[in-house]
Amino acid sequence: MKVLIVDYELGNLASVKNIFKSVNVDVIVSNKLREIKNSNLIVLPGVGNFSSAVKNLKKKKIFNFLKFQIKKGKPTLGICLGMQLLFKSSEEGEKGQEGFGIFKYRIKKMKKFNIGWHKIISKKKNFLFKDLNKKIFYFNHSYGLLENTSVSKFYVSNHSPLSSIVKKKNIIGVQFHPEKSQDSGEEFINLVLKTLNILKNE
Amino acid sequence: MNKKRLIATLVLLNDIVVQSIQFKRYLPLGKISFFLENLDRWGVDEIIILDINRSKFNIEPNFKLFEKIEKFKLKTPIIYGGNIRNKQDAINLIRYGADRIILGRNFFYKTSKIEEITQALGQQALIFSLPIIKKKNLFFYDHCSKKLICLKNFFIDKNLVSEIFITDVKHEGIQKGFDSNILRLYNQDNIPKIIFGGISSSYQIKKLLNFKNINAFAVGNFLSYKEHAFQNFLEHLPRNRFRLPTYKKN
Amino acid sequence: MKIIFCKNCLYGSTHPLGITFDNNGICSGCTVHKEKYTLDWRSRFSKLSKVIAQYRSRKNNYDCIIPITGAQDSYFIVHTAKKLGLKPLLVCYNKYFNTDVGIKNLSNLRIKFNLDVLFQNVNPNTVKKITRETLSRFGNIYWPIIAGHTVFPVQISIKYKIPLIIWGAHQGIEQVGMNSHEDEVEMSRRYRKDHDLFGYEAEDLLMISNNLKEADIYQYLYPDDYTLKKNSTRGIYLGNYIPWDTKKQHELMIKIYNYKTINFIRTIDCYDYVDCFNYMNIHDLLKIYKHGYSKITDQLSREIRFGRIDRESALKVVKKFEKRKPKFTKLFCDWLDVDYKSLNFVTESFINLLFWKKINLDNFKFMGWSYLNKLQSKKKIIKKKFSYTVNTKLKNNLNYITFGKGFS
Repeated sequence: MKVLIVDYELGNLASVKNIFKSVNVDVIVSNKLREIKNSNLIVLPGVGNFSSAVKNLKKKKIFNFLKFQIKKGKPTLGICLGMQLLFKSSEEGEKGQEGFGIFKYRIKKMKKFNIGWHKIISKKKNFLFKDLNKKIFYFNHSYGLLENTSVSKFYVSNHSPLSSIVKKKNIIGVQFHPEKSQDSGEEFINLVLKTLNILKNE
Repeated sequence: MNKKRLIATLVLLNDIVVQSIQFKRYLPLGKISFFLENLDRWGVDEIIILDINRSKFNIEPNFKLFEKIEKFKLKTPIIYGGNIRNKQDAINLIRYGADRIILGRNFFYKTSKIEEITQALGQQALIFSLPIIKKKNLFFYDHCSKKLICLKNFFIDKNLVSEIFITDVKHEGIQKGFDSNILRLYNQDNIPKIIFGGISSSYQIKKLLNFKNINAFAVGNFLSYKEHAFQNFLEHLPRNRFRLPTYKKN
Repeated sequence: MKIIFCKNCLYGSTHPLGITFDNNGICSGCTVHKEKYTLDWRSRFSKLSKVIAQYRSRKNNYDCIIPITGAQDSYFIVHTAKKLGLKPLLVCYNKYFNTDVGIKNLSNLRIKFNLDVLFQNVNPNTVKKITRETLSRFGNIYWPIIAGHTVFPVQISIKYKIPLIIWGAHQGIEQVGMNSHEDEVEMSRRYRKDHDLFGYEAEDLLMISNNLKEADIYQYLYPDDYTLKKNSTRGIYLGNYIPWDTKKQHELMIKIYNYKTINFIRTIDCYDYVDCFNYMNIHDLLKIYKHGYSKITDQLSREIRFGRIDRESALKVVKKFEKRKPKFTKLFCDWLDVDYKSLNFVTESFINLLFWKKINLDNFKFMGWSYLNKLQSKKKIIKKKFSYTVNTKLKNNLNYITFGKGFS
């Protein structure tokens, strides 16, 4: 299992790398096309600003390649800003600026910042990540997916319909920071890796 | 109702964690790696590292610190403050492992300088620091020049940072609690606050819960006095307003 | 790197526990020491009584645990506990380097106070294995002893469901003023890892060692947070409630209970560490190799603070004693099953060039604290009499006394 954390010069790369290392998985930080292609899981980390993120990815000439790989079905985990990049667009972005467009919705600005630890609530009872229902994770964002959609799998407790986990086939987006969510975070990463192994064998 | 956060604060002086008393006296406590590892295990909401004296002697932010602590694989959000001078310092700190950063006196005199950092990192990563001394009015304490600047005309745009870190300098390290009059007198903005300085008991926190706009309470010295000091705070705070305490099992 | 020295005691800025100085050049240890004269100790003692009161035994035979050795203020701690009307269970981690004087002090303690003692004897082969590892990696022969001494009482607290553990002095406060006495700090896992075990708990040793296995170190594992919380285990320090003066306390214990003391080659303090062949010998040598000062500097800095000796005289005494060749090294070699030359090779590899200048292959010139400390004190030279009472000496045919083996 080769995990690749995309380096687009925004994002807390060290922490994300560490959580994968602590579950004993092969992980590299890179923006090289060949390494992206050969990885089993792409991780889009995220601390930053939607507009700078898109600009940096285009500057590094990996925006289109990533979009292509993800659309093709390469397992992907987007964290916080990384999750928002998977969407069509964001109110935080510049006019006309687009994300990867995997999820055909728009990220909107929230009334207040969401900083702190929240429970996540599962939309359905028998969803793949049901063990995470009511577990607590660390959030730090002011933009999010504010509408109820078919890709919304978990909400943020007391903030419905704000999504905490979105998913479509192999593409997962989380609004929280698993690398900063202590035990729950580690549990989440283990679940993702387990899920991907299952999907690979399908 | 939104839950409040309880943040563990470490004061770093010349690379050792110290007990700070009014930012004047310092007693040595130990090495930061072990404090971080311990707080991580205790499950604190966030950790603030205040790396003092770096602006006084114009030393760059402590990038080496993050290299050093990488091997501890911390899974708790880390907030760093220590002479962040410009956009590059800020970006580098996030890259090295900080989750959020505290901007201090380098930006007090011209808060608009923060804008380019907000554009690069996003508001949620930025916290502005206001060490305050209360006399008849509120004053910003510039620890480099040791001057007091009246806060009456202070302004910071609400789109620049996500929270303001207010320190009650006079009560820092003293067990008498944070002076709530500071909160009554502060009316420069409605930006959510993290309050720090003198908080040593759950009772003091309970008294402050009714003030609007407080997102978090930061506790410092008192966390090093006893085993499970952090959890003991939480045990005596209203369960629906704070996270439940964690006691890790092997 | 310039080392700053305290204007009052003999401590330097490279103290391994961390140290700070105020604007007058006085170290944090000296500053906090003054509290011994300024705090209201009567009210502090009544605070202690209040803390203790909640643990007085309702159903248990014991209401607290006291870790003891054949030295280190053990007598005074037990004496104080008895004064407070407590029923302690004494626990003792066997250090193996036991002198006959230490063993006599231990058994005398048990008899005079009429108390039960639980001993922990970790398999000596395991202890030797760990000691070889920590000696070669860190230049430290005391890891198993400190690890055992600090964790055994916690394990017993959980096993026997006795939450309260009573310790004596807090080393961080006594030496470098880590906290005010009013902070009432208690025992913590973090302090143990940072300051007692120099950053290596049992799990960490396992990770870095090629030789040690889980079976070797499991007895030194600290219980997890959940277990500690469930049992409400808590360790308090009497030094936060009583103005601690170890010299005076030992002298009182000699008088009342006939506590035994001996002479040492590397220090004038005859009261502490009498139970160990190595603490004031090879362990002390490793200390001056690595840190540029040895135990006598700690002891005399303390006595300077109590006003029993002045700085200049203390420095003279330190210079006289700290370079003396340690004794009983061959005994240690026999125990550890290493030869003398190999031991020297290993210990000398830890010579810190910050404090020793290499002259040639085998020769180093000492440039540690006592050499660098050129501060002149403005205080008057104290012409008081300053001495220690010695009332016994080690037996002639010397060997580590093994528990259960008895005297031959």
